Amino acid sequence: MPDLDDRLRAGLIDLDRAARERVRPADSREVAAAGRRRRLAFVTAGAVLVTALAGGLASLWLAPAPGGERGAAPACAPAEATAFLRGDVTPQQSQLVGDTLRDSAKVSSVTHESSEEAYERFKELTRDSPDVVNSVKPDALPESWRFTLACSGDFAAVQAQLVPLSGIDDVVCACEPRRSPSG
Amino acid sequence: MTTIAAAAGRVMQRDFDDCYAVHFRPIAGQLAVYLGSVEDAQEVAQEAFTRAWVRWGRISRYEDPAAWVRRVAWNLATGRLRRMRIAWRHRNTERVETVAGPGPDAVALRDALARLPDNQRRAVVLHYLAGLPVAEIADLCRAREGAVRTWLYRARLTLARHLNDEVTDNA
Repeated sequence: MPDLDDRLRAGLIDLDRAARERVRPADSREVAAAGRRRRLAFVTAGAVLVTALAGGLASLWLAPAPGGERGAAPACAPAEATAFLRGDVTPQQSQLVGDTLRDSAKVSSVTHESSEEAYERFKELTRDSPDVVNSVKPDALPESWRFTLACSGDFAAVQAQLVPLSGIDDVVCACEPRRSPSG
Repeated sequence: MTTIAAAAGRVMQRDFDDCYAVHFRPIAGQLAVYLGSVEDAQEVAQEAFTRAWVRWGRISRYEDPAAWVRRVAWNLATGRLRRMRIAWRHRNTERVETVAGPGPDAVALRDALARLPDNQRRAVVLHYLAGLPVAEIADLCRAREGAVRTWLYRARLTLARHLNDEVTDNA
């Protein structure tokens, strides 16, 4: 049916041309901006997930053994928290954050995590979803200081100490609802 | 370091802009013929490009980045058809999407296309409009080549009958 094929092609091209005339593409910068917002949301969610999982694991490790101190006040349970640094943080600024944490009596341990180490951990956590891993670049995950609070109730005080420091992006704790440094 | 990152970002944005400028309309046009709605086609194409941008560092290194966008766009369009029953709207002859301009053959064809099952209509658009060979359509639709040939064969029978009826009616 060569005649039918020709009629089909001609008719489809006609419909296609009419449709293209009505298409009003958004500016490609707007599409890119939407993509950036989506990636940022995804990376932030990944970072929070990493923190939450770390906090959850730490809580399990540090929780009193069953039958131990039953009835003890839960107000002073240890908690894992993280200070995320900005992408443009300098080594000196990062060091000051680490020193502040080490000097704090409320903090029992401090560990530094580079963005490469964070990426390795992120890959491990999402190893069953290669597309998710591929969508995040190593430098997309922020450098951070991970610390353990002897008492989760002290988080707000430590957070208030860190937030004014240069290079701090956010300070989060699995023990609290997420909040931004500015608010 | 920051300067290198900023320069790389600009190059990436320019690559994306070029791909978007060249391929957005063709992809949206083909989807519009398939979906029967320019607005839906435009939304789907934009979503596909947004997803592409998120992965652009990887996709831009492909031999044909637009092929990735096209595949995602067609998958999204098929999913949208299933979910929103656009096919029903496609059959509605009072649609507002009707565009002034197509000749009588194209109008008859548009109505005939609306009566085809989704997979047949998709195969017809990809084969006769996008010019894809059967093997590529099969790959894109995750179907066997034999199934695609069957879709095309049945679609041609239906379209031939419908278009001939239109011609007879008009005569």
